[in-house]
Amino acid sequence: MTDQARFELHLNDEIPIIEAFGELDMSNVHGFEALFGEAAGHNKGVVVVSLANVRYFDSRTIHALGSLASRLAKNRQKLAVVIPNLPSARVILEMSGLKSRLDVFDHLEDAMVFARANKTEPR
Amino acid sequence: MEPFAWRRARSAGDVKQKAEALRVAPSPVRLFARMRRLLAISAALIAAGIVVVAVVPAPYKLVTSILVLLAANLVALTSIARARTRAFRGLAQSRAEYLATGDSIPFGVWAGLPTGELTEVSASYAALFGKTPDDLRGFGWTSTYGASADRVLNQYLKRTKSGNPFEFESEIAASDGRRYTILTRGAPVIRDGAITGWAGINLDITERTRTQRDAITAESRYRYLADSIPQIVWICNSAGVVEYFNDRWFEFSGTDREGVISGRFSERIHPDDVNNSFLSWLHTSPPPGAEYEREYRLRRADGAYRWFLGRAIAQRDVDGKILRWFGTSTDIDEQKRALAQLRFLAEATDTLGASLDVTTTCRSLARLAVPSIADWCGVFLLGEDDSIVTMALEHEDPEQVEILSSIERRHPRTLDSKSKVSETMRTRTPILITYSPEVVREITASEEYAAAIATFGWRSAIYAPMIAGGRTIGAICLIYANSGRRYEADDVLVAQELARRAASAIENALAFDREHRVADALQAAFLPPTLPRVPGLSFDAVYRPGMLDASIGGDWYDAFQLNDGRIVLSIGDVAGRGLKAAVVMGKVREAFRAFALQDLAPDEILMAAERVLRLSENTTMVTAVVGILDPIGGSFTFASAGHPPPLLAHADGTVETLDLEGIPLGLFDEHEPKMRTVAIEDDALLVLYTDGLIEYGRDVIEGIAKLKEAAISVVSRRANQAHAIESHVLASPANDDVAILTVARLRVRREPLEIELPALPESARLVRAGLERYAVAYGLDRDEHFALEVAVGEAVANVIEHAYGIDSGRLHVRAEENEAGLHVIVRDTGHWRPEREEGRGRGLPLMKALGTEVDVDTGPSGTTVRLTFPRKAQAAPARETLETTR
Repeated sequence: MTDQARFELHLNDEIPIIEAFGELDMSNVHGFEALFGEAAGHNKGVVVVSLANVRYFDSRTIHALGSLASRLAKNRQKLAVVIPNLPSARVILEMSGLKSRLDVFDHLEDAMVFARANKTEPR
Repeated sequence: MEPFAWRRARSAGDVKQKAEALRVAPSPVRLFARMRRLLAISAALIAAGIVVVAVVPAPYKLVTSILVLLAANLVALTSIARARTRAFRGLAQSRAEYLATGDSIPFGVWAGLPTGELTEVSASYAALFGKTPDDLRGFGWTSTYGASADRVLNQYLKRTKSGNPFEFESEIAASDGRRYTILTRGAPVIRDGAITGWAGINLDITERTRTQRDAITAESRYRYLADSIPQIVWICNSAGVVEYFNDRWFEFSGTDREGVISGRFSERIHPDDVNNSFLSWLHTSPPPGAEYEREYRLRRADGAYRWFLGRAIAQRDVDGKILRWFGTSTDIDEQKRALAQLRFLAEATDTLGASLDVTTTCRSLARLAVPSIADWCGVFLLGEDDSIVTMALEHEDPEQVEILSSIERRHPRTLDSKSKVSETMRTRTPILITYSPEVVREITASEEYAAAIATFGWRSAIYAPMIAGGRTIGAICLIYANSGRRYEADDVLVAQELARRAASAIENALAFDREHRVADALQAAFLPPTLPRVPGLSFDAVYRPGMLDASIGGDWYDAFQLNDGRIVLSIGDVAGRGLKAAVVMGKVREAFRAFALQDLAPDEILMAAERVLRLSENTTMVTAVVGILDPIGGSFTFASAGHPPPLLAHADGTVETLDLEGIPLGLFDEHEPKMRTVAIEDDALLVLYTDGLIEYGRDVIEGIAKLKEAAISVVSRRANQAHAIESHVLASPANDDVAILTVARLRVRREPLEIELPALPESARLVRAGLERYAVAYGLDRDEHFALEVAVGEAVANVIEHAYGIDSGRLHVRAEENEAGLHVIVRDTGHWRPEREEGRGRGLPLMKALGTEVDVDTGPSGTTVRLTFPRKAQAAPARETLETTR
């Protein structure tokens, strides 16, 4: 974690939630990715990633999310992503071609509703 | 003139005390007429052989009376001589007739030969000695003179030798034991043109001689008395013209007794005291019976002025008319000085204790000394390296002070210097000097300094060391110049006492200064080391510890940026001072930070902080304002816990008080603070402060008015606004702590942005920061800003990741505005490599998808990516942008 951004992994109803704050770019995206393994390891059928409090993210972040989605899909888990409520943020996601592979929300509460509904117990 | 009592001696040994008192009118014409008449009467009486003496009842005017008497006697003598010459011619024929005449005259007549032999003498005279005239004939008379017989005979022989009438005095002892003073007068007896013998009379002048002797004794006693008392004594006539001074005056004034003495007194009175002079008083026509008593300064022979108490009483005639004034002038200089010195030292103690600032204390000391006890005053402190620092120089003429200051700067002193300032510090002993060319040469080697001393007219000086706790901390120098005063030994004691008190005050101030510095350092540890650097915003803050107390205060301010770019501002004041207040302050400030980072709104931050404060054992009252500033949207959302309302100054010169209800933290368990959001438009200035700023003048309303005035005056500044407000509102350091935090929203000039950075991952963020400033200026909203950042960020990332491979290189970014819109150029000097890896090919399409026109120019010297963001049809003003989200 740097002063440019901070990343947190916590559980809500046993559902792993990764929250990012600040600015995400090539200089720190690996810190963000570092939490993915642990989050996926909870094996609750869904991982929530919130970018709601991120001031900046770019295609590297999207690329990382794509990788995580692929990884989760192999394990029959879903990735719920909360993005800033900005039209341009949606454009980035759409351009990434990932929109079909992710579940995208404007608010963390909405993402949690989805997550609880898709929550599974580890096999 | 005093009345004379005239006495007539009627017979030998029977001088009766019968006298007639005659009053002489004071008119000079009448006086002269009376004197002439007296002279004539005296002469006639004396000529008739009657002794006329003047009895002087009072010691004064003796000279006049004696003169009159002598004149009368001389006139008489001459006429007697003539008469006697004529008479002797007759007497030669009639000896019996002559002797008969002699017997009717007290002490008789006599006739003798030039050889000294007595031929005739009155029986009345011989009877005094129980003898007959025959017993005294020849040289028989010498037996009546006893031991002084030879002296009297010699007198006779000597006087008769000249051939002129003569007289001499002698003393005789009568047979009844009484002693007489005899005036013997003689005239030649001339027959056929030759002196054949001498004839004369004996006059009893015993009473006259005694009176005369008594009068001389009285006069000399009076003079002795007048000359021996320490006061100046003077006598003047009813018009105030001085007729007499005693010795003291001539000693004091250095003048001699010759010439006119009137007017000399007045010219020596200090110009400031002329109204207190006797003459001025006399001209005010004082009521009858009034006595004069005034204080004034008189100039001594050496030019020094001394204080005197003047007193005068009138001598009046029977009608109450003033004849003359008797006056004294008593030297009260020492008493005056002692009183002034006591008063000065008391004032000095008050003044020196009034400040705990070293510089202020030194200046106060110098200002205090001039002009009460010095014309010039210097205050010097000894530095740790033995250098001597001039802390204050004082004189009534600032120009002269400036000249001396500039010389002092060119000739710095150390403890080892030749100067007296150094010497008094080295020896720890006061020095009293009188300036002379020799002394000046001894004091300084500098020609310039010596010339200045002469120009300033320095006369005398006292140098006194300032010693505190056994350590020499400095010195004071007092100099008399233009006032004409001079220091004396007593003044050294005062200077020493002043230096002692000053040393104590300065030592306190130095100690306070040291403690204050510690407290400041501690306080600073609780304050943010730096303020956020946000494009389009200008932050400034001041924290000034109160002057009253060295202990740490409970005021704070804070400003930091959240990850989403918004800025948390807080300012607050914990009741009380000292460690407890500091601990609470630290806790509350940290709580605000923690809760703000957890994305709580300002009202929630206050509520949460209240709970934290409840957990603390040291519950105390805290007032605060906490708010979140959205730099992009230009809004400020805040809540207040009973704190003075923030001010918002606008570019149009108006000021808004951002009132908001709220109660201080630490008073109630539950609290629901209100929240308010205000727009911060371009060129507006937000001012947060603590009450020390507005309570400075003990009048809060006036304090707020002054603060508003200050806010307007600094609203156009682009930096240092808080400092400017502080100096505008606080004329001098405040007693209470003062904290000021200002945020100005600057209208950013749309100048081209040029950035050149190493092509490294860390540079991406710096490019974004630069673009943000530009976005603010361009009036982009949050979404547009995000799109701009992402599009440019993709181009920048390509340069950083691909342009230079493993080599190092530079990244160039330029942003500028033209008619078409906003242009951003991202350039490198490396080699473009098309993305092959998965996901990396999205950069260019993404830029385009974000509404940007993209042009890539690749060549051997590098790649240039041109991005154009079309100008919006209606660019929304920045302050109307999105409401702060959380």
